[in-house]
Amino acid sequence: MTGRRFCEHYADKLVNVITVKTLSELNDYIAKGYKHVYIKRRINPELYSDYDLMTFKNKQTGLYSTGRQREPYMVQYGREISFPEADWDLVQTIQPYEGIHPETQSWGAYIIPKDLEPMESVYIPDLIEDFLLTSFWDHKIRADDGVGIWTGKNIQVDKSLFDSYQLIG
Amino acid sequence: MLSIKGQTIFDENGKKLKEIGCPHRVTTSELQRVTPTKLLCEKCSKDIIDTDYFTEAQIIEILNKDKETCLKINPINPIFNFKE
Repeated sequence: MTGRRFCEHYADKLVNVITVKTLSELNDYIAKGYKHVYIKRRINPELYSDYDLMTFKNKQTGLYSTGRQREPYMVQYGREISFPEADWDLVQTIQPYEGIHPETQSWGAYIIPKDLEPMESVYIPDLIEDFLLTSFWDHKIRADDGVGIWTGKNIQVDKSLFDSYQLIG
Repeated sequence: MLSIKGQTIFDENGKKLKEIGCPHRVTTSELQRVTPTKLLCEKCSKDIIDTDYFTEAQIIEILNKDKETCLKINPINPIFNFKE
């Protein structure tokens, strides 16, 4: 599953922070006198899925397929699939990472608007860090946007918003 | 599909099923999982139904029996349609 923007309603209420992911963009902003926060991206263990993704190879046809287990299980639209040992060789098993892996994107930077005062709240339309927004069944959902506070040195992302994403009552 | 407008859940015919609202403003991390489908809220010692694991028909049946049943609703669950 992909990530989700969940607090876009803050976009009109708070100053928006721009995210850059290339050095040329970052250097352009620095040359124009903007402050920035450089973020080294890390794995968030909470974003590993709760299921294994297995790759199988059919012994007769040689074709590959993916599944969750050898034993029969239900997939969408009530269909049942299985990968019995008699028919399928297991090639590999991985635990999918449902954030954006640091090997894909190792860093990013937030560009600080010039008139932003310390302790002012900001809306971040494109979060650099991997935060868990919610889980659904065995999938983990990344927060693609968020709200934070500009401390004068960093942007502290408000994690309490993730916790109140689900409705209770 | 169940619709949620503001804090109210409606069935597909527009019948109001329940007002969602917690006086203690409990959040997900404060709940304790009791069974795969039930959570415990320690503030009121009440069970909370995790709607991730129920069908639309099951949720309607639960609420028709007891409107005071507490629910946990995940906006990512496709059985819910959030309206402005």
